[in-house]
Amino acid sequence: MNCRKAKSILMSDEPLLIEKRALSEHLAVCSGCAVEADRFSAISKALHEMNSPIKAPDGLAAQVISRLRPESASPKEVYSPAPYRRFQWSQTWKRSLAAAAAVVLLMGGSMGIATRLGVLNIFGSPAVVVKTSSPQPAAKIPVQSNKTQNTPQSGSESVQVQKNDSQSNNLPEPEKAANNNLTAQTTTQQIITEPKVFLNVPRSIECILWKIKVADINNATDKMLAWARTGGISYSVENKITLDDSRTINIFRFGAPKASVDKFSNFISGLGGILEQDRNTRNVTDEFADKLERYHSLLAQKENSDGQQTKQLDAEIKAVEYELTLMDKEAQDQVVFIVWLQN
Amino acid sequence: MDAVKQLIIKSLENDLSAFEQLINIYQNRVFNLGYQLTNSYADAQDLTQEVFIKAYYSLKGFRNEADFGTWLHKITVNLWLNTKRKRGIANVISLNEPISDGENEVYRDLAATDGDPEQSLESKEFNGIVRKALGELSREYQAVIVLREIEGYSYEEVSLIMNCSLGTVKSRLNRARQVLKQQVIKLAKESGYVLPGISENRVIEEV
Repeated sequence: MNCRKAKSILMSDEPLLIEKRALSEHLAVCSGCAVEADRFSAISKALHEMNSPIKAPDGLAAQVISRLRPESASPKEVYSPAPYRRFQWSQTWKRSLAAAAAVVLLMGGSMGIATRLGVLNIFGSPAVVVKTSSPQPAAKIPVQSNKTQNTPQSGSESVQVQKNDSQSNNLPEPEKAANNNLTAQTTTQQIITEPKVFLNVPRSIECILWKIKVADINNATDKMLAWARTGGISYSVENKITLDDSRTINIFRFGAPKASVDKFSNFISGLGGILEQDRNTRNVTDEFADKLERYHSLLAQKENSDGQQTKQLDAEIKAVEYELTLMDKEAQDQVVFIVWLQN
Repeated sequence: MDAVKQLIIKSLENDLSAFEQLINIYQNRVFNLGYQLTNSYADAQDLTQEVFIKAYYSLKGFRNEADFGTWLHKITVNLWLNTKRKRGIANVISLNEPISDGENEVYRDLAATDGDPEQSLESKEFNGIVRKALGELSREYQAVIVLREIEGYSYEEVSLIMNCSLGTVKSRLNRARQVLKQQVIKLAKESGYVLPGISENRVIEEV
């Protein structure tokens, strides 16, 4: 046997008996192949030792089931709104890691990032928006302010940092046209798609921010979500930013019934060291009106679309509808909690 | 009809409590593979969730010809390969740092519990090098090594999970082992670790 043949047998993990015999004869006389064999076997042994069973985290099944239990529980349902897209989001965030880190440096304030990344568009018009193009436009829409939604596209994975000064500048031409034709088209559209009816009334949302440093971020996250579930508190945004191997930031947005605000605040403050705390009330009347206008405009566009375009518009319509519903609910009887956990 | 099949049929009828039972049966298996692939507790958790979500929506495609757990592993590998590709960021792996499962700290690589302590420390260090080297391979190579060497799947099962022919599995595995070995040598050199020397008897036995 030559060395070449010996090496090919070494790498095959199902050698024939006759091959094994020939190999051991060769290894006895060839020190080079013997070293090679030893290395392979050491690596193989190390790999086998890696199979140390780890238990799946508690509550995993419940989390999956809660994601599978949106209003429409048919397995055929393709679209799922923001809270049910956890994985894609976290991947998106990891992809935008570099950009996010740059934004952190730019702004120097951690609460500021969340606001400006468009996560917390509740705090006003973001000056800087990090936009991640994704092959699944529907999945990203709910995270972003409506100013960055006009880009259903695929393939590109670049992360851009954009400045948005005014909404109208960002609207593509067909959309502006659609806006003008709004009244006539919406009437027909309502019959076909049965859009929800939203009223333009004064709305304001009360918001409480917590920024907490915790020892064990996974544990704190699980505890917090478990508390929210049992306390009837919905959570609607979750983002995960991994700054480096050991530092992670998790951001959540909860909608708590007014009656649970104090209890939930007490619980949150007990999770770890409080880095920042803030409370404000924001008038969202104009933002709601803008979104509603966009909603109607999308419905109108859908009227003149077909095939793939209709599908995309449908996803976008659903996303905006979801945002409107959420905003409406939050303004009526909820207090929004933004909880930022970091380790 | 076995219990798993019944749960699958019920899940197909949108019975979420049946599907929850399926998750409870298979979550450790999926989570473990997820952990071997991602080498991160949090990513494995995310991946496992996605696997079950995807499985729920694709249940119709499960034809009972494979073991349900193997089918879930197929979804796991596919999701992981795809997300990795989209992400395009190499894994950052730390050596032998304890990870937390929420309550207890778990070590990535368990050192041999028998034998003298020096040797077990040494084997721990070596395992760390192998783990790091594995993380630096291409996704396909990592997957094929994890499935075959760590999870102990047969060639046939690996070919089913990775959706490629037996021949491809074998040649990919051979190349992956070769690249892994080179990477281990490189990392060992960098960290000043002396690789195992010659001990012909052991080699012959194991080969």
